[in-house]
Amino acid sequence: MDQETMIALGKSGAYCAIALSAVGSSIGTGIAGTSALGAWKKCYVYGRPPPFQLAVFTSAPMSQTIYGMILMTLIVNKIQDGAAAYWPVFLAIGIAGGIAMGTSAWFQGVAGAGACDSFAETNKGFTNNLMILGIVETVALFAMVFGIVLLNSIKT
Amino acid sequence: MLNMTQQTMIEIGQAGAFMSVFFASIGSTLGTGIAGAAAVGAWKKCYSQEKPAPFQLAIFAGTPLSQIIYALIMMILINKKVLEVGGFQNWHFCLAVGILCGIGLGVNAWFMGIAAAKCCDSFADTNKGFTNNLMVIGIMETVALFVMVFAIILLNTVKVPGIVEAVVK
Repeated sequence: MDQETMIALGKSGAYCAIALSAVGSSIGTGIAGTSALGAWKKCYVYGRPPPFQLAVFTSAPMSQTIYGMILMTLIVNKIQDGAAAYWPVFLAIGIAGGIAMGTSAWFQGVAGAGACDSFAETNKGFTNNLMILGIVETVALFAMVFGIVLLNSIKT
Repeated sequence: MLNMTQQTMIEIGQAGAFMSVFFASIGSTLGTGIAGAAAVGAWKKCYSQEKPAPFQLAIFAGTPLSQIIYALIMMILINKKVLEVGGFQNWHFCLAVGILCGIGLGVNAWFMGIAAAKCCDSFADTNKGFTNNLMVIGIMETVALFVMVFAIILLNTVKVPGIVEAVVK
């Protein structure tokens, strides 16, 4: 395989990290967002003040896209340092890491939807709910950090 | 496949190492997502009924995270095996162990999340049986530990081919 093809495949893997985590973030924010809208609607119907904090729960699954970007930047840096021959590793880390972070965002959205419903109805437990979202977030952080650990074992 | 270069074999072996983290993290996500949603629901019930919300539900929701740490240990060990002298020849084995160990850990985390969801519901309703519930979670965790430890035992039986060792000496 020539050098240019290897660079292209490695960089494709790098972009997979951000693209796949963005798909998960879209699904997660979509699920949590519709739940927040429904919860706010209930508040308006019953004449209660709509809590602004639901926007925080809705935006929680966005962070995975940022982790995807960090992974992408690090993979591209490795390729630019002359490690293009390791393209299968970059492709695997990009695709697998992206799917892992995307799934985390998706299920964080599911938990966030529950948090929106709960907080709008009771107006209690904001930090408790946020803690649960933090636990789901940790999975994405682990996926990113362990991917970086493996990337750093590649010597140029 | 027979024409594979040494570097390609190392790369595929390293990709296999990351597969353990990948599959385990999918399972942990499913587990924490399911248990987390149950914890949020259980807290909501507590607030609605003016009962104190038990903090321990966060512990139940966080239990499926440990499998990723086991996967990290596997990733480091597989990576080390691939990178040692002549280790690239075991790339098929490293790929298989990475994928299978990851799936084992992931499925364990997933079902631990389902059990943890039940624990959240039970503990929020009754405020009793925290240690009993945690014991059941611990039993499930043991399966993940077994998966990791037995994979490490198998990994340690893989030796570099004698001829390679002789060349190195």
